[in-house]
Amino acid sequence: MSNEKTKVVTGKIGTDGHYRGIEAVTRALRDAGMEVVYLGAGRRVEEVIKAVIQEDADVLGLSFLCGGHMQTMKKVMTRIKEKDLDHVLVIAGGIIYDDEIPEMKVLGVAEVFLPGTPLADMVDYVSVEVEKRKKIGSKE
Amino acid sequence: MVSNKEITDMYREKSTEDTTASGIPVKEVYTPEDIAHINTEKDVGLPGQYPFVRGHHPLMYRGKLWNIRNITGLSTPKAYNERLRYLIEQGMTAIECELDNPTFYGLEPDQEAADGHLGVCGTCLHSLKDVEEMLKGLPLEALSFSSAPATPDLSQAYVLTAMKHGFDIGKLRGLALIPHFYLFNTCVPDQEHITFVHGRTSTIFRWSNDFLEYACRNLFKWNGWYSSGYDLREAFCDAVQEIAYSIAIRNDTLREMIKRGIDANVAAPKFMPVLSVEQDFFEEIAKFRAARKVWAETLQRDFGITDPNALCLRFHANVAGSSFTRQQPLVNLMRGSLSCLAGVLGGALGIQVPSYDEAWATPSEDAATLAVRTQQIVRYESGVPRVVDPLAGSYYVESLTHEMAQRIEAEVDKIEKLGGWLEAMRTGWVKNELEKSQIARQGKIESGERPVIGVNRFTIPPEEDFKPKRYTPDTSKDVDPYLAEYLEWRDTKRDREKVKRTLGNLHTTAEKTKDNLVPSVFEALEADATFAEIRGVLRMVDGLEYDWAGEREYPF
Repeated sequence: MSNEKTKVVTGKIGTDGHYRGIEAVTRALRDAGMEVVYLGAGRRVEEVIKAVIQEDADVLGLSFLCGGHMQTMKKVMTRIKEKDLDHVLVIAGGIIYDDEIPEMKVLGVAEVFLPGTPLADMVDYVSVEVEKRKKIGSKE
Repeated sequence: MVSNKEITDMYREKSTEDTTASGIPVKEVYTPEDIAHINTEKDVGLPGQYPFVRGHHPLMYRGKLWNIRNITGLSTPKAYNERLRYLIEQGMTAIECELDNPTFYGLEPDQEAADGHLGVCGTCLHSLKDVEEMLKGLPLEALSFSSAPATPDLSQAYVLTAMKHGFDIGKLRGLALIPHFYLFNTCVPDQEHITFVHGRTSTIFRWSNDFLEYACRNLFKWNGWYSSGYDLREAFCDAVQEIAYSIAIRNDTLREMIKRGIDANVAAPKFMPVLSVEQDFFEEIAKFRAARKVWAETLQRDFGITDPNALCLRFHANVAGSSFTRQQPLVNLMRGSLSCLAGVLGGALGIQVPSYDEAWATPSEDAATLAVRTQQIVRYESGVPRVVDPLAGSYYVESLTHEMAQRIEAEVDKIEKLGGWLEAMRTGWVKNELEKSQIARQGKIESGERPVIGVNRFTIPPEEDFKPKRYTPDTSKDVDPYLAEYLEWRDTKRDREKVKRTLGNLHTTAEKTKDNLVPSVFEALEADATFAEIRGVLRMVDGLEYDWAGEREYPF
């Protein structure tokens, strides 16, 4: 399984047009050899979930720079669970306050990346985590 | 522990930069030879005179200091009114109103897509009533108001409020920005949205041109809508592209106004771009000086404009929010003051300095106050505003100004050959250029070629870092009561027949593509139609879903 390309869905949900960060991350993941479907900004929760299912994604990456991330992530994680997508590595990034990171993790978000994180660190994180999950998946 | 070798290396460290941020090669030393090709009288001239390299006014800040126009906006119209009064008391001299996302996107505050966004990152304004509340008791003729909505609803509500209170709208000073018109289509792939619909420009886009036409004819001191070079810069273009794109957008919009029968000499002074100030000090200053030159020369050359007042570029400068880091946030105060100084030396009419906690959360009152104080240090303590364009004659600055002007002009000509800005955007050329720029610039930060203190140099562990006070308003005191009151008003207190009739009129007007939408929008606003309803009707005219988020049906 692990020789297959890692599939990633990235994008922004709702009313936040700050797309520069997510585009940089998208490109970095592509450059690292992953297959990334970038949905752009202004997406709805359902559209994102649909894309994760259609693409059979290993990773979902969402970016928030304008607030509302707790509410949106609650909705996303609820749908992830309802659709049996727990194997998907969900990561978030952007302007998120320190206190909110543990709350995000309780929801099931695997990791939160803050402004200024080197792209290489994010790529490493995703590669390692996806590999781990694939191993667990193949054992089961 | 730092090694002795490192100490020696640090002592001997030298500047290795041999290009500006936009890639213009620079020498170690500049001499009179570097400006020998510049005709000082013709190419530089005097302040307030063509080609305006040295400034828009003969006296510059000795005639009037720049406006301290910091971006503000929080929670509800009432809370924002209080914050505005506080900041004005602290020395802020002009308003730039930030909106929350539901307002920006024309959503109703109670719909699902607005969840978590109400009163966050800006103030919520959904009707004429809200705008009146926000402006309560403020002397509108003595203020300059600007905002960055996607549509003119807020500006029209502002004008109506002024009329209701008996102010002369001919004296209103303002600046209504609609920068995102020019960005939406670059960031949301495969989706019908605001600028283009079915391959043509949308009715909402036309509304903006209608409002600009109205402003040309009625709001004599209002600087009409104009796209923001700042937003393009935040989308990662460089200094040369920023000015060239701003001029290309101006050209498209000016041609539209001329088509509508407005004299180019009347329309041209309406364009007031908001430009960015990033970290490369001299390049930013040279950029502003070069911008005024190319702005004036292209207006004269391509539009035959003769009135000096119409040829002169006036701009507001936003210190780049994206240059403010989350790491070591207090360092942002230094970044803010340096960029503010560059804006002043470049001749900005107004400046915005972000709050140092920009990359953390909605600015606290303390942080917003420090952003005002930063400008006051430059205004009152530095002595910089004392002399007009004090860098004129510097071999380096004049040489760089000249070089940038040539590069900007070449870029403007390139876009004109592509058929103008809108066409370049529609075909994806703009998106492609921004992407190329983005890759190049992000790469420089990642590789450390472009130092960012606290991010790729002189870093410290996050747990040792300073954490700004978190702005956590008690929503039960402002946002919740606002929402309850708004819903009661919207659902039970309005004259529904009147709202329905005026929205129907707006729909009819919108279908006649030659009619100006402004009077019908005024009528609908006065009848208590909400911003979301007005925008929804205009979306329906284009065959789009009434609600941008697809959650609501047309209620009438």
